[in-house]
Order: sequence, then structure tokens, then C-alpha cells
Amino acid sequence: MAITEDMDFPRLTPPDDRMPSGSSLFRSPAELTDEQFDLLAAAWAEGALSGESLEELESAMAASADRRDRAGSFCSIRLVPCDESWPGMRSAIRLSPVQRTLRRSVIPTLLAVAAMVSMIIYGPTVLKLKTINSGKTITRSAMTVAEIQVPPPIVAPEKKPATHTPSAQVAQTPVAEENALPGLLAEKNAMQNLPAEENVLRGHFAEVNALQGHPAEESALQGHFAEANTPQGYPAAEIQNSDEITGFVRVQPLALARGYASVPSVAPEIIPAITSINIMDIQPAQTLQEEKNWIIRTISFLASAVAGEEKEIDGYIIANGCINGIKNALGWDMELDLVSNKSGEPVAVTFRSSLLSFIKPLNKTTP
Amino acid sequence: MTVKEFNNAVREFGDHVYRFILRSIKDSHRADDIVQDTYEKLWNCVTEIEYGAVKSWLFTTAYNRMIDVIRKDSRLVDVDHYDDSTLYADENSSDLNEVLHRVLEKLPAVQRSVILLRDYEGYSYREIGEITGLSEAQVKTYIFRGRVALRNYLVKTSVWQ
Repeated sequence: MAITEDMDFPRLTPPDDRMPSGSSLFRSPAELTDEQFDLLAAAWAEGALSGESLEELESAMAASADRRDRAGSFCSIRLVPCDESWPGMRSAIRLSPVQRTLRRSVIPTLLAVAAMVSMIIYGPTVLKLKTINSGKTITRSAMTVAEIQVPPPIVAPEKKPATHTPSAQVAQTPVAEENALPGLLAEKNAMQNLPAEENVLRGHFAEVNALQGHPAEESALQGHFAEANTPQGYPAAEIQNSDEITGFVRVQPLALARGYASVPSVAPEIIPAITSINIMDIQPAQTLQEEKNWIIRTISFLASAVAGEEKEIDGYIIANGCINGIKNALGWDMELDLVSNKSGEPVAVTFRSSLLSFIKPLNKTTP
Repeated sequence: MTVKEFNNAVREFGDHVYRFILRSIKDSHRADDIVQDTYEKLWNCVTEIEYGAVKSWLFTTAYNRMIDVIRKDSRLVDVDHYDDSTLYADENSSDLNEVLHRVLEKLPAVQRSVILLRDYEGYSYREIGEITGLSEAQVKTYIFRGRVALRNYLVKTSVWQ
């Protein structure tokens, strides 16, 4: 037989028992513990209490001055925002297409054009100033072999009895002159039709040959050199000016540097000052190199102006900066290193990347 | 939401969200990253969000991102295990707001966040609940307990007698 809920079973009736100490369980607001009171006070300070809760708290505060102060302290626990600002706000702002085009294309282009124009306009000027005032080279007032870049080659006057010129030497050595003149006259005629530079080189080579094995011809060759350039030369009065006389010196450095000739033999009394100069102190190659790399010099000048101190920028620094910039901006893995020899002089540049690696030896003219 | 409104949201709410996150995790780099991520997400769904709801969306997204970061960060310090001795060095500070911010760092992350949202932004309990994913009652409890904890710290460190 199935048991259903409506079947008539006997049921229990609860007795009328009462808890004897039930009245002792009642609490008044004054009996709230400190923790309970603090929570209520915090809610009250927030304005979150209402109705009976608010009344009970107020009665508790009324019962105790200490609790009133305690509840009041919660009102002052409020955080005030500090003045921190988000550093990445500028990068989060999205540009309109026009602004984006302007920022990414036009402005960099204009800046690049301005930089190129200023480099082209002011670069050589800055270089000249730097070359003359660097202190390593010799100033114009003490012009020497180092400043051989003076364009026109200058020679001694054809006839200058007051000074001891190469032509005067030729006059004093008639035998040598007679030996040398037949060949030299033909050469002179040919050289007169050449540009000044070719004249200089030809004169130089002739002089080297003469100085190596033919001392007797030395004076004749120098005379020849002078004669060969006489038609393009300067008046005799200008020869006295040491500024102008350097054109004569122009032909001599290779012979001097290679040990083919001594300074007095190459430039005798005509330039007394030059004989006191040690050829090893002169750095014509450096001057030429600086002249050649005026763009790098300009960048160095700009870097020095920006940094406020002397900055030497070379090609490796620029290339390394570009490599690092690309590496940081695009995350590409590549490195540029400078390889030095035992004495610390750079001899090669190595480049390494995931796609390409190479070593490029440095030649001596590489900045 | 238009691009212009997006940029307005950056200017208007960027500092607020950053401040909230910075004070919650006390790490400027992470805070910056979190806010950047938040705005990146906003940009990805910029057309789907109304400008009127963007502030709440920003705080919600930033908060959730911050929770992810905190969970990954093993350096999180629980308030119950924190060494209170570091607080005593600050007891001479006279700027209550400064002291409160230092003490705030000792609170659990959730309490800290809800108090910041309440005090910094003036959000209601319901709005805080929407941002943090808590019920209104839970928000109230966290805020009230947080206030009590702040006061107790101040008293304990003799800032308040």
C-alpha cells in the first residue's frame, strides 16, 4: 500500500516550553563591540545608513563621547587624488589622416631638406674655420708645407738676382745647365700646355729622379721646374710674401716625406722659415681627409654645438647609431662592431644580422 | 564613438584610470602598460561603445587587466602578513592624505580598488560593483572594512591617538 501525504497519521504538537534566560540575550546599541561600532561608523561616515540602523548608531554615540569621537574620525578618512598624470597619453591620442600625413611625411621631409641645405651651405665654411683654427694645423701666418691646398702653384721668378733662387742656381752652374737644357726645354714646352697640377707632378717626378742619383742635375732640375712654371707664375715681388710662396712648396711634400730630399735642398734660401719645420710634425693627409669628409665634420660641429662640448663624430659612430636606432625601433637583431688591432687602431668593421654578416676592412682614409 | 570622442576619452579619463591603477598596484610602468592596453582595447572596439558608457568601460577593463597582472605577480603582499614596522617610519608625517595613501598600499587589492573608485571617482556602490564584478552588498562590505582597516593602521602607527 502506497503511503500518501493525505493519509491520517498521528502528528506531534510542539509543547509550550520557554527559554528561561531569553531576556538576557537582548542587546542595546550601547552594547555593540568596537569592531561592530566601527563598521557602522564607517557606513555612517559614507552616508550609507538609514532608518533603524542610523537611529541605533546615533543612540550609541549619544551614550558615549568616546564613540562619538571615534565615529567622527571616519569622516576624515578620505583619499584625495594626487596630481599624477598618465605619461602615455600623447601616444594614445589617435591622429586624423591629415595630421598623420603631416607628422609622418611632410615634417620629416622638411627637416631633412633643411638639414641638407644647411650642411651644403655652411658645411665647407665650418670646415675651413675648423681647419685653420684647429691648432693641429698651422695658421696662415705661418704657412708651411701643410697648407699645400693653395690652388695656384707658384714658382720663383725667372730672374731674381736679389735672392738665391733655383734659376739663379742654374745660372751659377752653366755646365749642368748645358747638360740639362736640351731635354728640359722640350719638356718645358710640353708642360706649358698642361694644367697646373700636371705641371707640378711632372716637375716632382723629374725632381725625384734627379735627387736620387744625379746630384749634379739637382739644381738644373729645380731651375727647370721654376722655368716650366714661370709663364703661370707670380711677379717677383709676390715671391717675398710667405703667404703666396707656399705654391712653390706645393710640389715638395712627397719628395720630402719619402726621404728623397731634405728641406734645404728642396726649398733653399727662398723660404728661410720652412727649413725650421720638422716634416714629421705636419699632417697634410689629415687635413686632406678632413677636407674630404666635410659632412662628417659638419655633423661633429652640430653635435658639439648641441652638446656644448667637443664631440668627435666619425662614420662608425653614425653607422652604429643608425643600426641601434633600427634595432630599437623595429626589433631587428643586428650588430655593428669595430675590430681593432693590438695597438688599438681600428682595422675593420663587422656587421651581423640574421640575414647578413660581413666584415669590411677599413682603409686609412676611412674616417 | 567617433575618433574625436575617443581622443576626448583619452584626455578626459586617461589620468583618472592611470591614477586608479597606479594607486592600486603601485608600479608606474605596469600602470602605464595597463592603461595603454585598456585604450588599445577601446580603440579596437571603438565603434561598438557609446561615449556615455566609456568611463565605466575603461575602469572595468583596466581593473580586470590589473587583476590579471596581480595574479601573475607573485610579489603581491597580503595585508595580514605585512610587516607593520615599515609604517612607523612614517609616523611623523603631517600630511594625512599622504599617510593614507601609504597605508592604502597595505590593504588587500580588492579593498584598495573599491576605496579608490569610491574616493577618487565618486562612483556609487552599484557602479563600483559593475566595474569590479562584485555585488552591491560586497562592495559596501569591502569599503566599510577598508575604512576601518585604514583607521586602525593610523591609530596603530600613532598618527592618530
